[in-house]
Amino acid sequence: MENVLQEFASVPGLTGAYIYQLPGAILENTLPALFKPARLLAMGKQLSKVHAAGAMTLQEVSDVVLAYDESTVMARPIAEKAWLVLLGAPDLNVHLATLTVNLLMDDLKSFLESPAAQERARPQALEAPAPGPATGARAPLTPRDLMERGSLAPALLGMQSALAKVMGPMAKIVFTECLEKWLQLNEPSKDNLGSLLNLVLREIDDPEKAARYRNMVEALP
Amino acid sequence: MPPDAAVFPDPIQLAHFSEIPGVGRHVLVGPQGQVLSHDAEDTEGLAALVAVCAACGRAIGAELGSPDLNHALFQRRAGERFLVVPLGGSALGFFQKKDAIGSELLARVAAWKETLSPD
Repeated sequence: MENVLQEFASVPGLTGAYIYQLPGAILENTLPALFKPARLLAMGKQLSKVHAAGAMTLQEVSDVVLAYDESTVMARPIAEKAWLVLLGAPDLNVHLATLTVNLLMDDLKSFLESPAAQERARPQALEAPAPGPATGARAPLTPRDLMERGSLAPALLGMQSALAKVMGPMAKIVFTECLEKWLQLNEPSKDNLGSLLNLVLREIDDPEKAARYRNMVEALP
Repeated sequence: MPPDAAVFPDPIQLAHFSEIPGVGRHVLVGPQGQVLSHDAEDTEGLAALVAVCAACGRAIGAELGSPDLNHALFQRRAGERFLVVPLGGSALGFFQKKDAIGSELLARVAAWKETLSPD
């Protein structure tokens, strides 16, 4: 069966969609590869909790929509333990998305019964964690370490926040990946932030947005 | 404002909230999920929903790099809507009246939210 989620490509503001099934499987996915499975599974699990809480209290909840500054998330149950999750920009056309979901619900249900979906419904292992450091060895710095503490944290958070303004919901993922590359090639210091900026700029396809991003970063304190 | 700081609208602010056109019955929930104020039925159930929604909304936002949830919306098949708006560590859940336009209601609630102070 052709990817049923491709039908959502015409919804304005939509970044992509995936089908999440409890206890932890992604049955179909049209989001950019930057959205790692572990992240989608974590989001799916949280969305299933929100929807279950809504269904218990309000009964017959169809959609749940979560609105953030830089993204919109919409979840619709397809079956008892399977949800369609749409992820888009803040200006995602939720009404059009809802209409499209309604029109495709039969196809989505058929997909769940297909052999391909059944095969993928087996719980997927999350990305294996990096091996721990040997006893006595110093753990390497991770992007999270740098973002959460240390003298570079304010500058890095500012760069990530600026990226979100030009890239939307993919910003955190892109920035983290750039940070990983940067850490492999550079000492994490303020003097080397220019090379991080260059790594990020390479990920921005639109020259105008890249220029805007550069200006925002250069204006950071 | 720090994300975990609680904002408790005082009774006057809450009265102003209730007067917003399109706002139906509400429940205000504290950081520990406790009911701080309400004029709704099934208060405990709604409070639990609001608390779960606010916590999960933060977790989902963290995955997306947008930890601050602006609002959550539950659409019922019958057409009724229930919304959750985090206010720092506390959160407000309320029904949207049937004749209200969602986008206008959200704009009014956002304007009301701007009037709140953590002090």
